[in-house]
Amino acid sequence: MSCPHCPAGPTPGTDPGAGGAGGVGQAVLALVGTPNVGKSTLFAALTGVRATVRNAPGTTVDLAAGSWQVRGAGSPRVQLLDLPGTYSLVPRSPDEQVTRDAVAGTHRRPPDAIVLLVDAHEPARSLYLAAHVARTGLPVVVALTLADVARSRGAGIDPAALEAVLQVPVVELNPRTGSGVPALHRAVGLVLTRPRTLVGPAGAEADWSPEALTTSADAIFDWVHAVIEATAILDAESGVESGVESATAGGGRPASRTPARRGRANDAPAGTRPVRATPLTERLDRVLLHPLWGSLVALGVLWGLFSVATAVAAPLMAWADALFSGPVAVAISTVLGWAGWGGGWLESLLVGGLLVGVATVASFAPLMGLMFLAIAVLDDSGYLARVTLITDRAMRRLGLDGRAVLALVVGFGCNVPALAATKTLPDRRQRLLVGLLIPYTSCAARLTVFVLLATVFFPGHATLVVLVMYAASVALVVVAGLVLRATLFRDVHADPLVIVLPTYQRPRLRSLLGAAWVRTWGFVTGAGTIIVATLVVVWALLAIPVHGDHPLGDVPVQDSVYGATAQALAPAFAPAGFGDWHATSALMTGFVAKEVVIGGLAQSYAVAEPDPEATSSALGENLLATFDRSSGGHGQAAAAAFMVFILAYTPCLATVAEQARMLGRRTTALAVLAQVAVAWVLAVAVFQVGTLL
Amino acid sequence: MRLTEAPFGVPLRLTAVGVGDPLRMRELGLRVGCALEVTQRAGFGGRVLALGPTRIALDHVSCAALDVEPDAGRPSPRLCAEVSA
Repeated sequence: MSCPHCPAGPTPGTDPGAGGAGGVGQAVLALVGTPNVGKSTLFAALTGVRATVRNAPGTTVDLAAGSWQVRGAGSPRVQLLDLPGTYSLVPRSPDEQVTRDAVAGTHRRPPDAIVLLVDAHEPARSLYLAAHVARTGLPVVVALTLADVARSRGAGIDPAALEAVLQVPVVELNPRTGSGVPALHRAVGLVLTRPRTLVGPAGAEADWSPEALTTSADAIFDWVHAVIEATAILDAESGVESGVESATAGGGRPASRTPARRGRANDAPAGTRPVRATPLTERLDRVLLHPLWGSLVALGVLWGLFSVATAVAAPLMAWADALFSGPVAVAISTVLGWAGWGGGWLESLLVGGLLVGVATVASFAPLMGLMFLAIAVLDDSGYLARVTLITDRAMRRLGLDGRAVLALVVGFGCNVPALAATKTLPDRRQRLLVGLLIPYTSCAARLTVFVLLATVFFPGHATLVVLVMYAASVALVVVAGLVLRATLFRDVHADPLVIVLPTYQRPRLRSLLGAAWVRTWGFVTGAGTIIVATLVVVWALLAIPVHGDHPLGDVPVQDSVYGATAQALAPAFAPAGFGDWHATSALMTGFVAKEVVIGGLAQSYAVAEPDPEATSSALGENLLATFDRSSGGHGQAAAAAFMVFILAYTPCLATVAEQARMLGRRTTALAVLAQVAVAWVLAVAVFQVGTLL
Repeated sequence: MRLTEAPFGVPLRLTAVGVGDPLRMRELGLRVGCALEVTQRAGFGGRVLALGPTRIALDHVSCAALDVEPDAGRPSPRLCAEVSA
């Protein structure tokens, strides 16, 4: 007898013509669920580090895909998709649209089956989503999560009863500990060979268009309430009616009859009423959501993130850079020497071009890894939602989500991990807007340039000048944000904030480390390719002679294509007071990395980099002479304009590469052009006004 | 009364929702007639509501757009002790 809930057609994953996103014959499974139900934790537990994170087709929304070896029933290896959390298949955000598109097969073939995560502690929202999934007709396995939290509060869902109602396998599991995962393997193996579809509200059509789902909302809420009535585990203390009403918060009408009890969570003696302590989450929130204490804690957390991006990551970055520029470079030179190719342009290309690019990427990898891990810990613990509330009112004045403050604060340490922090923003347009504002946060690398110029041109007031530059950075972020919101981002507005607060949980470092590794590898392979390729191009510009009889790869800066380009660009900066090729070559170098601006300046003058402790230097004297000459005697105004240009133009190649990976190449290219244009206008304005003072 | 005027720890019923997408608010649990309790302040002007096991935080704009009334006939839906945290 055929299964009434089995879809017609070939068994998924076995049709050799199916192919598609999972490879020929490889099944595709999608993890679907409401936010904070454990999808990403389960994904990490099932795939380990065999995963990649890429933008969903046509969007800048992250989509994680990994390989999962299902044990039992033929042991198929499937492709697992970690879809963004959604409350329904009627999308209200770009992220929810990605989930709907993935389930519908809009850009790729639809999944062969869905693993639907249902929150046993707060089942109403999950079951509402389940009713939508039922209409898709896709095979489903239900994973019941947070059952431990539910049991601790004397409630929960009976898996056997839920399976009887939904007519699909229901597995109770804890992604954080791994319990129940073997049963999930068996259930998925079974569904892949004998597909079973979820039974939703009676009489429901197969139409799951947004309009049809919206029209059916009342019927779905009634169905949700009935399912919870039939499956809820209630203890003696909570009481039947209040327990059902509690469990169906957000569902339909209140209970009209006493539901059958499935079991008792607590065996309290008859007649006693146990005193229930205020949950730890509530107690913590009384502090962490307090306007004063919560703000102080939030500031401390932001400071911690800033420290991760600077002090904590710095030694790791220096070690990685030293490894490649030291032993690895020596090894390559030695091998080339043995082969008879040492000392020429090939060694210069490999060591001075390719290896410099690899070293740059390698030095940023620990920083990105630490930042991804830090953000994941905050998210997994449940604290991230609280930061949103604390900072919401301040960020709202810029039309931004409260979580934008994390990215902006990190940006003052380094712009590259700040872009990673935009992942916390729930809306794609918000991520794009903040991603475009981050370059205006003055990173630590720019500080080195400000300190040098302030010391040389404003002796005795250097500290004040540096502080003014940081204030200018904040002003730029605010003004740019307001301008963008009034023009290209009119659709972005801070919606009224209504968020479900997740329970605080102890972060599971092992799974978070795996997830951070996957994201870091995504940076290395994505942005890293752009960085290495660009630095090879820079090497070529420096290595090719334009003037003089120099061998390839051994050319003074001013005689190279690089130097000729700097000389050609110099007149464009005359209105800003620094129309000299030394300054423009430093800006070109600064496009690659702000840390090497000073080194680039020193190289252009053929002098040593100044000692930070020294009060004067050969470089300083050369800069004074150059800026005084190029500005017609207004050296200080020119220096101020130069600092403003450093602040406002593109931060560094690594930031641009990460922007391209996250936001798209076209958007990034336009943003770079806009940044250079804005920086030029500001620099000219500062210089022209400065000459009048 | 506005949610911003509601006392803490008192059983309430939601009588009007004047913010956000109506269906999304229902999907989150905020439907007219539902039982809730204001447990604490949240940030600057916001509130945290308890709807059964669910805790929802709203900013000051959202709070000003929700109307509630006392639900004298229902006991306070206190949350259970959290053992695992």
